[in-house]
Amino acid sequence: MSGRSRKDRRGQLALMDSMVFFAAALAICGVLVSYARPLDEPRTDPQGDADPAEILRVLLRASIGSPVSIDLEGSHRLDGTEDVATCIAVEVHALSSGANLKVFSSLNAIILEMMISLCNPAFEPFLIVYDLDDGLPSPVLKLPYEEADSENLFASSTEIPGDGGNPYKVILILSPAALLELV
Amino acid sequence: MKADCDGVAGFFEDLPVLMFVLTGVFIVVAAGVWTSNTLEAQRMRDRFESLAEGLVNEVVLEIEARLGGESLPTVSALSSLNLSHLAGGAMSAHRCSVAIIERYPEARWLVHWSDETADSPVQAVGAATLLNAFDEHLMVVVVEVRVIVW
Repeated sequence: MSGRSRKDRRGQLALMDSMVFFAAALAICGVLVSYARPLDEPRTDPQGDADPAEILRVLLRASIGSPVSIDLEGSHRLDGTEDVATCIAVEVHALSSGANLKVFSSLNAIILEMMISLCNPAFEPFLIVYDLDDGLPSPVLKLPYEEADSENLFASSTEIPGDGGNPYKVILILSPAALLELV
Repeated sequence: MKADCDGVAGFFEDLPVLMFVLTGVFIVVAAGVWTSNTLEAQRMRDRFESLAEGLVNEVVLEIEARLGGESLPTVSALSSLNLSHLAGGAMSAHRCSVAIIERYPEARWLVHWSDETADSPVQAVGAATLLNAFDEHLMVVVVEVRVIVW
């Protein structure tokens, strides 16, 4: 009877040992798999063809491309060759002087279309302009008007000469929210 | 007879032990093989990425040296750019495709070169950069230099 009992105990011990070995194998497997990131995992960084600094640089230098008329103390007409930085400077100066944002709706639509066409479709662009003379209290201009609501934002900023002499800070934000929603 | 019964019983008692051990070994070996393959593919992709970025930089430097100078290049000059010697010189061991595309105000191909002799790619990596250029109406447009390496 005691011989049979000893054999059973040995069998149970062997089974326990094998289960411990199996658990260790699973742990090793987990470490190995977590060490290597699969290649098909989507990237959420905006490097390469969506670098915000590069997009902001070419955006500010590009012409708006289409003629725009602005009803501002006598009609202003932009013939389309003006660069985006100049147009933003004119708009921010006018907004700081109390002009209505609706006056610039067609110009803002063009700038927004430019930003979208230059960005990787996986990212949403937002443009914010501050008047540095105001000590950055709140942005003078935001395109589009809603807030970027993602936690992973990628941004670049630069200064452009203002229409009234003082410089403006232009910030381009890329939000990968659309990408994260797809995943 | 008793010994036979004990032997048969022992064999069937050991089967779960054997199953756990074999499954554990298989899992470790499979995870090791998968990890080494993935790391090798990542290393290859990193190499392709650095090759693609280097080639993009070479094309941009060539554009600036030949067409830009201190002002911007023109779209017509970009369209007549010969990309074959650039791409062919930089990429001896790998195959590549180089394209210059207008992104704004209209999307259109300006010039393209691809290694026609290459097999279909198993793994390809791309890199791109944006530039400004003058179009025929003297407006500053945005063009993209895009490279795919495989």
